[in-house]
Amino acid sequence: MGRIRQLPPHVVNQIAAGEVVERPASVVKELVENAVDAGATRVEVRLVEGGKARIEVRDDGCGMDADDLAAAFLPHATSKLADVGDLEHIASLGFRGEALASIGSVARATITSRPAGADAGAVVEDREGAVTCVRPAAAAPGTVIVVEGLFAGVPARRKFLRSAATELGHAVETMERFALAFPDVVFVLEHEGRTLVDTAAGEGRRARIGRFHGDDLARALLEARSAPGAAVEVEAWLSPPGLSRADARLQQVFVNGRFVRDRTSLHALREAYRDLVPPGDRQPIVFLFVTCDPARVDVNVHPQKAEVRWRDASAVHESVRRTLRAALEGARPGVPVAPWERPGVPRSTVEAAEWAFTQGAGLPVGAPSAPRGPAWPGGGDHLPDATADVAVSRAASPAGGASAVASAGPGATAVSGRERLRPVGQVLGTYLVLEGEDGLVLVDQHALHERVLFDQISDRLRDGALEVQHLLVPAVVSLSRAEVARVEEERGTFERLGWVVEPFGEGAVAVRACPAVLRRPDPEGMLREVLAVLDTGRRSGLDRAALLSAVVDRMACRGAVMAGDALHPDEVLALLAQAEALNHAHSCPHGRPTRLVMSRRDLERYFHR
Amino acid sequence: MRLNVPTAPLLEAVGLASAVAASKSPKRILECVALRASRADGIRVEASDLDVTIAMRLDAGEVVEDGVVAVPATRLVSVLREVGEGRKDLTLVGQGGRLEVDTPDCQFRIHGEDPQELHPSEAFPGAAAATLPFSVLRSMIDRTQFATAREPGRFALHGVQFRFTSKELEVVATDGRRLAKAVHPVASGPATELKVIVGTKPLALVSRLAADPTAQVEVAVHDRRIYFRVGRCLLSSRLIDGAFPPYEQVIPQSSAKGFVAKAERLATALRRASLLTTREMRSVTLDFGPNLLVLSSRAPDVGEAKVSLEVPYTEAPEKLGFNPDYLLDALKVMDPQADVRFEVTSARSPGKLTAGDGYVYVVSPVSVTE
Ligand SMILES: Nc1ncnc2c1ncn2[C@@H]1O[C@H](COP(=O)(O)OP(=O)(O)OP(=O)(O)O)[C@@H](O)[C@H]1O
Ligand SMILES: [Mg+2]
Repeated sequence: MGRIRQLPPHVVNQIAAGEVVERPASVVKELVENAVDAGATRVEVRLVEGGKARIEVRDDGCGMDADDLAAAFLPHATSKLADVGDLEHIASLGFRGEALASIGSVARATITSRPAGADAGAVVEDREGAVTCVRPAAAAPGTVIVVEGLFAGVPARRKFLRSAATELGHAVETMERFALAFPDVVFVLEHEGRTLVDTAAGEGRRARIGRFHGDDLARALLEARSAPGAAVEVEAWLSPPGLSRADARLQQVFVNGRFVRDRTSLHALREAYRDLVPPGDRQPIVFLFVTCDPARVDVNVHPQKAEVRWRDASAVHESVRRTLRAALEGARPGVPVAPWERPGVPRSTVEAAEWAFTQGAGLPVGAPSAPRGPAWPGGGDHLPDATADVAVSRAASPAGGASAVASAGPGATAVSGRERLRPVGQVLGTYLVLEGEDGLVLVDQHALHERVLFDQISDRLRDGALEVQHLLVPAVVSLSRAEVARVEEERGTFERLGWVVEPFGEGAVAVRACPAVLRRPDPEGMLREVLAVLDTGRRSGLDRAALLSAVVDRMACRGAVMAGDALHPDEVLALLAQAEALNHAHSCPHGRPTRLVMSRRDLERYFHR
Repeated sequence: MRLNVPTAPLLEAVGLASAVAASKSPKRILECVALRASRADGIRVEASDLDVTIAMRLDAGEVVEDGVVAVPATRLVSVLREVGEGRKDLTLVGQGGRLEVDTPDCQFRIHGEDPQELHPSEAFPGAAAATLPFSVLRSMIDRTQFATAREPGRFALHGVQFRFTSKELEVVATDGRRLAKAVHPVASGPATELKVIVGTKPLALVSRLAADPTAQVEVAVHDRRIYFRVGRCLLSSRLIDGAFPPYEQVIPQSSAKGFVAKAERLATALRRASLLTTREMRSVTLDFGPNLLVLSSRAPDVGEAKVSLEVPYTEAPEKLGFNPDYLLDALKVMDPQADVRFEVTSARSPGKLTAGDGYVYVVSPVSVTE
């Protein structure tokens, strides 16, 4: 008797299933894809035990009638492809007709569905390859699919499943990706009664990024779009230069709504950031959405559809790179200054006349001891010069590129290259007011100084030399025992960051030295803050470099001049000059902008001139 | 109330009072300066923001009719300034919360507050804890006050500590990184040591008090307030609560590793050496070698500086860094021609500046992480 036999269909399906279904998250992915393909506006997923025990996906899509249900679990049964020609332009997420068959062969799956417009629903069940008859059932319009006991009958696979928490983590990630890809669809994920993902309709991608990755991050991201109507349309939410991560997890590429690992796009985005992310392994954050005619991209290259093949990769590369780069360059460039000088006038007298900075905090304007000076320093006779300058520089203004860039702040106008800024004053004790070549520039002194400090401290740390100011009398800080232990554990880290901390009896530590850069050394507050940063960093699994960077971030914030600090004119000049040395002083390390530009055009529009 | 008074002394007193009065307060009376006139006692100018209270008696002018008025300090200052300091025949008439200021060609009527609400006049409380020349006290304040802490928290360090003993007055300020201490012998101090902390705002006002540098100032403490009396002025201030850390042990014993130089020369060398540092990365390395002090600094983006200063130094070499501002702060308040001694012990322990007149200034070093 020959040894070679054809495998029974259910074994074939189980083997095939291995390609499609790997873990609960892949079941979730397939079922949610089907829901989206069915035109759902709301998709709810409920999991038990990370999905290992039960997965339920409920949608309000087109639904299936009894005939469809009878075919749904059959292998190679799909409503999405008619002939091989259709493979050339796949507009839906699914197309192989394999997902439900695969799932049904390795779990108990039940589909209850009612097509839109039908009076009643029906139900069909697949018990690891054994498909029941379709029976009538009560159902709301749409489809509910329940998958229980995944891999219960395939121990070899079951044992590869990880803990419920890990599996759940993958499912959450999957759902978050769908939510970003389809901002018009509401996605909900519940785990054993707890809501983990919830989205609102019509809230937009920035809001969703905020939900999943933090509002601060979302607010900081730049928005970039290629010109409408481009053959390959690009939309991206990307970190401004200076904001980066230690890993590339937040570089997510979606092609026609499909989350993919696309080497072409990833390479293009790294190109766009060339010289804009700090050296070392820093990674920018980019949520990239590429939309094009399905004919331009082959999605049928990977069993889990995780990769695509471009018909014209270089066009895609160029479109992505150019759109991103334009947004990055249009982002407020630092405050590059050539300190304002007027020929023939000695610098010091110009400065004296130009500055109307409050010398001491809180002096009311016009009080007897307030510094005297013209109300609008240098106003009258300097304005004509400025006007002439503007007339010249405007000719060279907006570069009509293929991309339109929108950024978060109002009055977003790209100011290119180096510009000469004439300091005018300080308002609200917080913002420096400068006259630029084409309008008014407001600089947030704290944010800019923070940026300067962050870069300087990071540089110094890289060279391994940070100034440490020793204290005459150590500052004793009482901490919980756990905190003291943590300080002990992290002693090396603290020392590298310029802190000399020693145990001091029970429940206290003595700070003997702290980084010299801290302007208001408050050892106690700072120490607690550093501990907190280390703690949350650890818990969210940041690596060492990211942890250090997070701490430096806090130190820069603490060391920076505060909003409300009256700055001496010399200090302002020094700050602007330091910012000039930075390439990307346009955002503070948290990505908050450091400056706002109101161009001549903005002003004219506002005043109806 | 009616009085005739020359403008100059009145303006001087009211000017000082306006520095004490609150600049903006929901209690309007705290923004006021009070004029108290009595034929028996003369003319007194007073102001208080509750924390600090000042009272001055004029040695000029004539009281025609007794009375009290309280008017906003800044208003009165601007009126007096405008009518001219040279005027000798100013007439002031107080009536029902108003003050009229009359010259032959101008009449002003300033609306004031009810004098009933005024803070009661204060008197110097009994025996002084220290009596010393005013110029000495002023220099002690000048040479310490800059070293107070500015950062939030540790509020005690925001003030200057006065320590009275039977034999001396010691004034100390520190922000935890440097410490300034001035000492002066006094004749009749308290039998038991007394330590109090005074804010920098009242001390700045104390420095403005007397025009006559040979005057004696008396200092007393009573009921959580400190009093300074000099000539016709009495200033008092609420004390700052809290205590200084034990600072005596922080002041290094005298060390042989040191040299003497003119304050001005040392300051110049430090200033030059720190030219190419940045505000954030501010440190100058001091390299003590045989009869030569080399001061150097390096800031990656800015540049490097190296300054040599010949000094009489024959001990073993030593090398350590300091924030140049901390040293310059002290040298700035010293007589430029004074011979100062600068001493160090080791790279991790503080440096010490002394001027030979009881003044000691201690600075903690700056090191660099490895
Ligand atoms: N939630 C749903 N609502 C409506 N129809 C559905 C739903 N889920 C599945 N279907 C129907 O069942 C068919 C089979 O689904 P299945 O996921 O197995 O294959 P597919 O989506 O066509 O291709 P792929 O294997 O690539 O996912 C689909 O073509 C679709 O017609
Ligand atoms: Mg499918």
